[in-house]
Amino acid sequence: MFSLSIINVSAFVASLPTLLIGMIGIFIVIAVIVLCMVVLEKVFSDQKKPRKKKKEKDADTSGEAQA
Amino acid sequence: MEILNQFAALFGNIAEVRWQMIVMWVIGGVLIYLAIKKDMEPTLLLPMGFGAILVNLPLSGAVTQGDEIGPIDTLFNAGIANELFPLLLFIGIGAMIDFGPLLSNPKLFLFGAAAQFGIFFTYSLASLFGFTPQDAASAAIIGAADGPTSIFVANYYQSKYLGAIIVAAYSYMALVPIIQPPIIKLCTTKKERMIRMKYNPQHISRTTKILFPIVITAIVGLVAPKSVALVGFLMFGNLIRECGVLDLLSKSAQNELANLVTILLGLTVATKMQWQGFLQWETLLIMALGLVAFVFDTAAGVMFAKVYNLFAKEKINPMIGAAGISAFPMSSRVVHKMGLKEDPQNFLLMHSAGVNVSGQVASVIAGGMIMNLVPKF
Repeated sequence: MFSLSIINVSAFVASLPTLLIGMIGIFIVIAVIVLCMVVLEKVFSDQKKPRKKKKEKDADTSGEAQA
Repeated sequence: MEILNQFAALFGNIAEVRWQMIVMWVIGGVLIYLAIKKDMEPTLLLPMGFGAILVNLPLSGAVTQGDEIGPIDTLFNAGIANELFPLLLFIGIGAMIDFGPLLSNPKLFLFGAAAQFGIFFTYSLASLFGFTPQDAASAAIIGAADGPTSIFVANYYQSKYLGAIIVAAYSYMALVPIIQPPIIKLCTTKKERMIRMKYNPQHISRTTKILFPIVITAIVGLVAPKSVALVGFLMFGNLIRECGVLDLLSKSAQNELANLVTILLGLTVATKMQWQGFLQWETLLIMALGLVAFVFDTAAGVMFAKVYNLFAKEKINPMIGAAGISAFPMSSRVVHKMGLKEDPQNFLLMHSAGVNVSGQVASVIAGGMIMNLVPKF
């Protein structure tokens, strides 16, 4: 029940751990997400494809040469 | 005489008008005025304003009267009491978001996290003013600056202040261009506001863009299971956008789905704007707490950016921290405009947009954290 005449200091103090844990929790989750994003981009970067294509080209070229 | 009596009975409902209803009509009118004349979040303020008038007419057939279930209450039970409308809207929002700028510079995500401080600070402040933990959490989530998240969390706690919370959330989102600039100026120096940031977009692979929403859903869902619906629907929308094979669904989600749900949502939340529940002193306090949440969100984002600059070789413009609130894309445009005002050659939009979308995700995480930490009853 809410009343303007009641300033509840004990409730305020009791809520502070929620504030702390909540903010730390958000940062931890975000940090994990950022880490995953970095790993994802490193693993699935499109920059690898040109090297693969170059390797395939070299393989084709050497195959033709042997033929 | 009998005819006169019948005539009087025909217009008898006019005698049921109370001054509180008239106040709500005025509030509804103000919301409609703000929507049309000031172009403030018209997609929601206009239906809410009109709905406020509808539900505050005496013995209104739009809401439940005795045994007769009103259609707005029916819609409320069908779409808001069960969280459905906010979640469907989130599909549309997810389909609208381009996470490219954020994926290009993942550290921007941290500013989105910092800008959720206002939510938890307001939770503590609301507790100080004697609100129950559940109502305090519901009021605090206004700071998420995100309508669906605010509705979702406030409804989860069955807060009786749902109407005030929704009005506050959407009103303040529309007022971001007015609320944020003074706070940003207070927290920064002119020299800081003039810091230029280079934009070097990295190409993000399609695979990354496809896996991103799936990974986010899994991570957030594992930590905060109560937020799985929120984050899941948002990321589902993003997935249908990024997969490249569901263009029609993506367009429908961004347009038809989002628009239809918005129409129903705005009108339906008005059921919580009936004068009996809305015209209380606590409503004013909720509105004030919502403003505090926005202010501290903005300040925390900026201050975090300033602290970051203490350790970073390449300085960032601390104003972009303010874009970490979830008011997308308004907040990013506010920061960009402020940057241009200080230095016409300083283009901050892509950076602030990256922070802004990170705020969207961070606000959902914050909502999940709140639901995890504060018990439902």
